[in-house]
Amino acid sequence: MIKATFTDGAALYIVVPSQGEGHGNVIVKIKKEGNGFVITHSCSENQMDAHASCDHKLYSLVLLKKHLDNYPVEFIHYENSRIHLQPDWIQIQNIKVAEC
Amino acid sequence: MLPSIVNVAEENGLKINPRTLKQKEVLCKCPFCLADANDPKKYYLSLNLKENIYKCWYCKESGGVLQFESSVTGKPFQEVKEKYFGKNRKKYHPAEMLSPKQLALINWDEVKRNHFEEYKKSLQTVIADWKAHVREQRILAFAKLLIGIETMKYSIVIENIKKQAEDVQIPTLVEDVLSMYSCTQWEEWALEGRIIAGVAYKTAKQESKELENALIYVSLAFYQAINDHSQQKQFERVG
Repeated sequence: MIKATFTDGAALYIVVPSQGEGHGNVIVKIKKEGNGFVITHSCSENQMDAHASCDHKLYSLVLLKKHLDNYPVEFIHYENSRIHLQPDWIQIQNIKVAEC
Repeated sequence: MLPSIVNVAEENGLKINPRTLKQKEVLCKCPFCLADANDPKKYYLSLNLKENIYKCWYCKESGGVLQFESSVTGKPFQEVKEKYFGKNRKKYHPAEMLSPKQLALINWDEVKRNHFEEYKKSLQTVIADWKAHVREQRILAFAKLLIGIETMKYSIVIENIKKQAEDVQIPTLVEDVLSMYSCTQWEEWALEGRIIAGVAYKTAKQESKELENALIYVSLAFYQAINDHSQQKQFERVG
């Protein structure tokens, strides 16, 4: 589930619940770089390996697949870095990826 | 050594009434309320040279010279204090780092002013009171943030929390709540904020069937929770 979606004009940020019981969140940054995308976030699963599978990565990929359709994506690069919600971000309508 | 309050006003471009320059109380335009801005004859801000204090007769903003410089320059109180007294002059207790405005919010300003010895002996209590104040304000701000995001009013709620931060003298409030929201594990105060947001959300839905005014219900739910908590404390004491 995506709880909220934001943009800073250059990238898309999705808020996904963390896996723990503390009701926390993981914010995933999806940024277009040339003909590819860079997906950045930090969670317990991707601490050692930025390419490791996790729900946050899965949501980002489903979202990209749903919205890019036939758009050629040459690469998807993963990075491990904690993203913090910023006061100047703009909230945009939630994108429901669970339906696709 | 402390600067003269009139020098601080001049350095920061405040418009002083030249006729009062040699008087005990120097008058100038108030930069806080701007109520005298459109009337060339009116000067609401009074600067007391002898006491080195200021007061606006319109908005009642008042304080000492360091608070004055901090307010007109927008610099944190501590930074202004260090400018005149240096950084490593003395090791201060965290309670001693609180500004007069911060002390006023937890009702310790009068004690410091009139019963300094008692204040010095109570520094642990002062800082405990300040931490309790910060915790309460974080809970309220976090509840607002959750409701703001839920109702797609993020920008409005950020402005609201910025205003709250100014009113309750916690400069890091916005950063505190945004950083907690982005954490994988929320701390206890955030979970309390979540409960308040839940109550507010439910009430707003029941009352108006729309969530436009859900933010109002956050404050109501917050003060209800604070009230319940203090009542509970009283019962605990009685029991």
